[in-house]
Amino acid sequence: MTIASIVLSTGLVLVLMGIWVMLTQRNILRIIVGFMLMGTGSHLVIVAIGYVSNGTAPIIDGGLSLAEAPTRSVDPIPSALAVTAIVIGLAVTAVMLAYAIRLYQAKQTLSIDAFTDSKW
Amino acid sequence: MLELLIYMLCGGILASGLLAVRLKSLLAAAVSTGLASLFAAVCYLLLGAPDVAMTEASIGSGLSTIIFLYAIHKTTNARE
Amino acid sequence: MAELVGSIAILIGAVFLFSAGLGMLRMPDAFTRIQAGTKASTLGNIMVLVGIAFHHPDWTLKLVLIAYFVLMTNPVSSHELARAANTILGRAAHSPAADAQRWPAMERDVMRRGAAIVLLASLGVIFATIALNYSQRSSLPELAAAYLDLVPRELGAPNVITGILLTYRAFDTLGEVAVLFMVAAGVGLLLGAGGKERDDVQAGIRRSLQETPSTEIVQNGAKILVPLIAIFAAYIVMHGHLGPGGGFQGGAVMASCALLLLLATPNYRIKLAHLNFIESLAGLLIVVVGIAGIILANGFLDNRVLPLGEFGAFFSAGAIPVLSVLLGVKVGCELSVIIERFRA
Repeated sequence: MTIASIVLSTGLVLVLMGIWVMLTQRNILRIIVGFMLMGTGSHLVIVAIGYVSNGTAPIIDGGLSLAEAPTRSVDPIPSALAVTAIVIGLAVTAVMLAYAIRLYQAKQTLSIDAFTDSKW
Repeated sequence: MLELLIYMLCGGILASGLLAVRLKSLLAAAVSTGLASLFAAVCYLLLGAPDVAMTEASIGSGLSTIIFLYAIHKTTNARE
Repeated sequence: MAELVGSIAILIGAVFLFSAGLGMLRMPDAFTRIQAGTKASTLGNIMVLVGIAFHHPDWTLKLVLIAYFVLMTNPVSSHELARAANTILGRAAHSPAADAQRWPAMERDVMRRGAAIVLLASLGVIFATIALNYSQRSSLPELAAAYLDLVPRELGAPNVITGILLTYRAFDTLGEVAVLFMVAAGVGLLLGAGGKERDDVQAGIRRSLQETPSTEIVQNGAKILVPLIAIFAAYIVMHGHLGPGGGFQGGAVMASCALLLLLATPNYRIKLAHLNFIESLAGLLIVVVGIAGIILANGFLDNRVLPLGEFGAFFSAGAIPVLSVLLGVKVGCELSVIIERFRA
């Protein structure tokens, strides 16, 4: 199998694992672990899509001259998107963990079954 | 050669993801998630995306694991 | 023939929908009205969609999706309406305790797990189709080739990704930095707010941290490593346009440096007011550079406000190093604020 297919399949399997953990675990922190796994998997998928056969990094220096850049480098756009996505993933994880801490301080338990009352 | 490395790294990613799902201890699950991020960072380097590799290594397997450990510390009542 | 079957299905659906409307007008009670409104209208909807599928067979997939959405949302919304009516009208007949008696815990777990397995199986089929039909590229798409040509030529930056992130898509980068700022403020709101109980908790944490100081390895190691990590962060940020690196990576490494400081000296409390001031100042300067781009060059956050210089030199690529530094400072400050809020 080609390199991009291997990494793409790994990323998709990680996404499935993350979704499984988010659906079946009862501890809030384990649900957040599932979210982080799903995030890592989806970033793998994004970067795998940009790989070109025998490609190298899109940086014009001694290894890659300007003339041969359009034929030998990988796609720079998914890399740029993945950089943004990773930082935003960390930000969302931080907010989720802050909420988990506050929920624990409110009810002294981390099981999601304890939070069943709706707002009204 | 490159394919062999990618196979090994993807195997490592899946193994640490499986560990993060199945381990009983929450601390070990968090560290396994960081390990999966680390393998993914090396994968990005081999896929020709060094910027993404640096970002994933420092944020995914560094800061993300650390704030998770802080959150675990604050939500266990086995203190004092 | 198929059109006749389809028309009969649409007629049946219309009859059910009419009965739903009639029921909502004539039923005596809130709960019976809700029942008439959802049960009959769901069936009527799906019959009409089936009839349309007979008339236009190539729309079948979309119609199945619409039917799926109707099936997913109608019961949920009627359930919430019924709960609202129950709360407002004050009847205690439906309560979580009564629900728990109706569905014992083990059956609920089995149903939950079964639903999860069904969802994951369907997602697995979709993902397998994607993964099997994907073939690795052998040539770049047009937009990528255009970026690889434009960034070294027009912007003078050897690193194409930094050129994209800090000039062509710089507005997205500014939005992402705004999201990080919002997250730092939100974490501060959730974890840093006052209240006497929280003050006691924080004092207890500080006392326990003082009683168990960090070990010698961490302290001596931090004395050597913190300046090195800070220099490394500055190097990554300032060489972002020449090699791999840039604002985000350097900011994350800067936050790791702050984290090492916090781990080595547990008594140290970062002055959050200073960090907030530096971060806001960096954000303001980014917007000032952007507006200078509108006035002096081609657009917002265009990098040609400063001279492009020689390709590959340290001071080159216009305003990209300046933007990298400001971005790195801002991201580093925001991540340090988040870590400090989590620590204390």
